[in-house]
Amino acid sequence: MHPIEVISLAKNYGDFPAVKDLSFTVKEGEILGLVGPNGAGKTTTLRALAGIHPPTSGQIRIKGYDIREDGVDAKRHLAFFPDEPRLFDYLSVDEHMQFIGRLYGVPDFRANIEPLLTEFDLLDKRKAMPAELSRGMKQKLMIACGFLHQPAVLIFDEPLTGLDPLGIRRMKESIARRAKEGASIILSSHLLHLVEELCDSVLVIQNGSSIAYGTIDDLKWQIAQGRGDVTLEEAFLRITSEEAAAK
Amino acid sequence: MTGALAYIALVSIKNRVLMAVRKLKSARYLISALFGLAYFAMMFGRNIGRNSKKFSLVLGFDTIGMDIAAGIMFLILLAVWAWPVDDAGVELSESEMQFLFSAPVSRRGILFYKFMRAQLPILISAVMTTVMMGQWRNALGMWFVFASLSLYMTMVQQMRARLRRMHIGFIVRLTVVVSIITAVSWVSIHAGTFKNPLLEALTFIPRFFAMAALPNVPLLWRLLSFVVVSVLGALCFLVSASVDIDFEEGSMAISRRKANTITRQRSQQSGQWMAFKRLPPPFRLAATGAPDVAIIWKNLIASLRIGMMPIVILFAVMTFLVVFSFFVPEAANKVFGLWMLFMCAIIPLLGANLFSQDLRLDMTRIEYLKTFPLSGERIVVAEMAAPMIVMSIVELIFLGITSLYLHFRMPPGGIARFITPQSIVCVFIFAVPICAILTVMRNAAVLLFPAWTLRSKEEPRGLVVTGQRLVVVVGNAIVLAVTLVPAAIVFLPAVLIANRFFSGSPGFLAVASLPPLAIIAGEVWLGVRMLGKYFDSFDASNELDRIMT
Repeated sequence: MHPIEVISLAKNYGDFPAVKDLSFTVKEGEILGLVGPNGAGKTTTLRALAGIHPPTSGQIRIKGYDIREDGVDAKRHLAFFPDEPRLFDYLSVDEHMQFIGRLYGVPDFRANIEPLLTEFDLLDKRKAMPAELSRGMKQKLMIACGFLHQPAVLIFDEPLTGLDPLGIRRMKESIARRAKEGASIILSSHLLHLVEELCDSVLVIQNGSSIAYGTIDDLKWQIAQGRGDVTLEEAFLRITSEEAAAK
Repeated sequence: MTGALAYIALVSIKNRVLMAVRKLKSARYLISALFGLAYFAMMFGRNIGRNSKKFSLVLGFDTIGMDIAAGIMFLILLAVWAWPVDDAGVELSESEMQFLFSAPVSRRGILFYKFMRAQLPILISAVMTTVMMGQWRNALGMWFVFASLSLYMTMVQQMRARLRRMHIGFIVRLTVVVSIITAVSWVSIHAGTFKNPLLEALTFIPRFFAMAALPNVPLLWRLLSFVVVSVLGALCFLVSASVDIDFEEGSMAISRRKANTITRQRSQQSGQWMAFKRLPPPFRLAATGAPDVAIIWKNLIASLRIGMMPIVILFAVMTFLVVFSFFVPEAANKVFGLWMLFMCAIIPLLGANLFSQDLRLDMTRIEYLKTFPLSGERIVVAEMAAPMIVMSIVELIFLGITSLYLHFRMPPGGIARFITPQSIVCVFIFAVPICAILTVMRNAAVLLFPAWTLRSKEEPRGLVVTGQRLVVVVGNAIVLAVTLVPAAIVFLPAVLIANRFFSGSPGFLAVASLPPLAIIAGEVWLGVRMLGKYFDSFDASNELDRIMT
């Protein structure tokens, strides 16, 4: 059993199939990169994994719990980081952390708040309200909140949007560290060098379907046909354009 | 370029109409539209014949009604010169500014685009106005008038900006307008009639507007009025396009103001606007225990920071009543007592609207709520708990103050006979479940119809919106009545039984109030369960565009 198991996931918006028959797994300590052109169905997939959008069909298992049948147990083990942070405007930074600490039943969460705020350069903003934070800071706060209960499954949708260079470096280190500690991570991004740098495997989706899935090296090898000298970006462009031409 | 702008304007009108029609495929929108239609038919339909006759009698060619209409039109045309806003330009959306100002489009082109874009709402207004008057055959004339008036308003706006550049500001303009109105009134009063040459000269042009829009005008005059009104509109358009002003800058200022208003409205809706931003949390959140408490804690903070103002106002009114009652003759105490009782009675009814720090506040973050490791039912209960706690505390305090006041300040007999500790407890234990029912209903409306309750200012309005409001109001009233009827039915026999077997003992209250209370509590529980299940299956993706806008 893998911490993340997706079997034949499909999600329709009305008559429009946003995701079709998607299957993949993520092992402990593995980082899976989810890439695809705009409108490919990445965010829909991630939101279905986080239990936000109920899947039309198929199965999603988080630490063995079905997201539809045992949603509460599944959600205890995961943290979802949307591309657009939506904070509670009436809670300060510190109150957000306390709220999440109690919500996820983190024992002695107050002791963990300070190190996390330090990690994300938010310590001096403890008393600040979201309206007083920049977009990048809001993003960091959202991520700090998600890390507080030390989830086994982390789902990132464009995690680097709005972060400054130092923030980007820290975020990459944080993600890599959590993976080393055994977390299973899915990361959706258009920044293919980030995916290449951080991820162990990659799932390329287009028009809601999987068009390539495997380790990054396998993918590059497959595209380069034995030459082994292509970047993930070249591989991605080749795969998606071939798929588009085939259609 | 004009062709392209006309194309954009017409296509956007067509798309808006198509979107509205397409929405009717959804049962919710169809029902609302039907409700809206029924409402308008009820409100205006039955009056059409009556209004038609009424307006036909007073508003005809060469009648006093026509003179009055021309006079009112003259006042409108004059009064817009005294409007305080003196920015040049026109109101555009962010995207319109981005595309139009960077494109090789002349001011005339932008004004033309704006005029074309305005035609659908103008046409709807014209039809509504004429239907209300029972004179729907004049819709075309009314459309001409409104369209020409919109061009006139745009011209005056540009002229006001031009006057500002000439250091003629609001005060001067206001003074001139008031002086003209005073002078005309003075001349008319001295002449002893409004049928004087000065007034007739001044209302010469406005009379054409009146003739174009009003009934019983001979065809030839009506056609002439259409021509005059259209020519005037065209002239205004040409003047607007050629006035020497900072058109782009002014448009940006106007549009920025509108954007700020929308942002302010949204921030109030999402809780960004706080009356008491730095109020501390009501209690320290323990690390262990039920996770639901975290949501209650969060919403209590929101209640303190956002919803404190109504509480302060309510307490100020109550304090005023108590303090002021000491300075009035004793006979007036009864009135004050009744006012206090009235305040206690309205809190359960008003409270559900005043204290909305529940799902209504968090609806824009529903995606985030759905990631919480709690069942939908527990999230719904926890979300609603904070306003319930606040309402209960306020109600309890008010009931306490009122009962003390009535006990000590009211003359014996009369209403004071009923103010016993038992009756106060009885009122309180009924007030809380009623607050709960109302809160469940308000939250159900948000969850079942999120697009209705979180409507942004930019979205189109009309029959559907009116229908939506009616569905919510009528639905609330029906649900409240239906939920209270079983409790009321049980209450009567319970009181009779209690009176027969427990009269004069403390058991009376328990026997009389417990059965209806149990019924209301059961209904609240059922409502919460249903909402919880709905929350679990709620697919934000279907409502996302409306929730997030």
